[in-house]
Amino acid sequence: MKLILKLLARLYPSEWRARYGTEYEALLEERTPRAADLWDVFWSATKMRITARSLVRIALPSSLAGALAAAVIFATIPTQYASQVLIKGIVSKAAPAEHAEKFNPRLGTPFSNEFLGSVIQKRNLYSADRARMSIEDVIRKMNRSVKFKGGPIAPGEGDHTIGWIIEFDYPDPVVAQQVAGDLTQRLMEWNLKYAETEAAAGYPRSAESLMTIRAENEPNLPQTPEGLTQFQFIAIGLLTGSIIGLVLAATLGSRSEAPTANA
Amino acid sequence: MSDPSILVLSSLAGGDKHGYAMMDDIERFAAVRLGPGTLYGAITRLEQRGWIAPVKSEDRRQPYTITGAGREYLREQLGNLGRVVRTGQRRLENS
Repeated sequence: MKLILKLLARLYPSEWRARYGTEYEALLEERTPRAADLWDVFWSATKMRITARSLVRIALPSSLAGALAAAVIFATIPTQYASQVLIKGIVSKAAPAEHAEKFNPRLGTPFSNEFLGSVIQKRNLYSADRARMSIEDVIRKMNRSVKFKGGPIAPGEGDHTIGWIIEFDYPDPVVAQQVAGDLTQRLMEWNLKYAETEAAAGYPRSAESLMTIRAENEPNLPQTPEGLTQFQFIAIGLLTGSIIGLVLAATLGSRSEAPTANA
Repeated sequence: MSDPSILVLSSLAGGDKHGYAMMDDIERFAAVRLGPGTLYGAITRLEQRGWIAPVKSEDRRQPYTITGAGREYLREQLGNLGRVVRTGQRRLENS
């Protein structure tokens, strides 16, 4: 064990060993070693090595490690592109106000699991996930990528206007655009069907008077991915690594060594 | 009472000692067994602050002595500690 302790003593910084090395080795040879001494010498040497360095020299490796970790994490996160369509729905003054609230795609009615399943098949979405997950789970995943934003906008004179942004996120920007188009078309078809159903059920207005829906734009082809860019991600990793390095240096530098109490 | 610096200064207040003798002394008067790394961490800091100093030695073992500034620091620290001990004891007796 004395030999191991002597080897561990070489972990001390060279400047420290030049000053204290001889007497330290004499102490290690003279006393009967205990198992706890292994950790004590190793930890003391590590702390001495850290506190002998400047903060910058401690923070630098930590920052680089943080940036590297961030780059690795970024590489494992699939890039998502979001295609959006602005939809406007106008309920004429002939229809009651609550109809605008009743027609709410956020309730998910137009986009049933059956419909989403058909889009998955048609566009061959999530092929890797479909090989290892049930179709129900894949539909749930797709559901999370279909987003609605907005609500009533610019209420006019007696009209009730609703605006939504329908968004679909997908790793392939072209597919994201295609599916956003599918969703828009489905919404319009569903609105017609909904109005016809209401009219057939004795609703006092004609189908056309219930709700007019129009897409304000074609689904866009996203050029940049959603979320943080690789540069931003690595910058956050770099910053986090620096903070951890500084905290580590400050903690190790300020803590005094704990002695071993006699049993 | 487990601050290695205070233990080392207290040991040297009783006379010059090298590392092994300090460990032995501290173990007897404080029932605390300092590891070699802990002991030399304290020696390094105390020497850097001028509270202890090496004395001439003929062999590889290096004895140290407490300096005037070290005595002053130890006196101050033990005074603070004494107040805490007395207060704690008094409060325990009155509780």
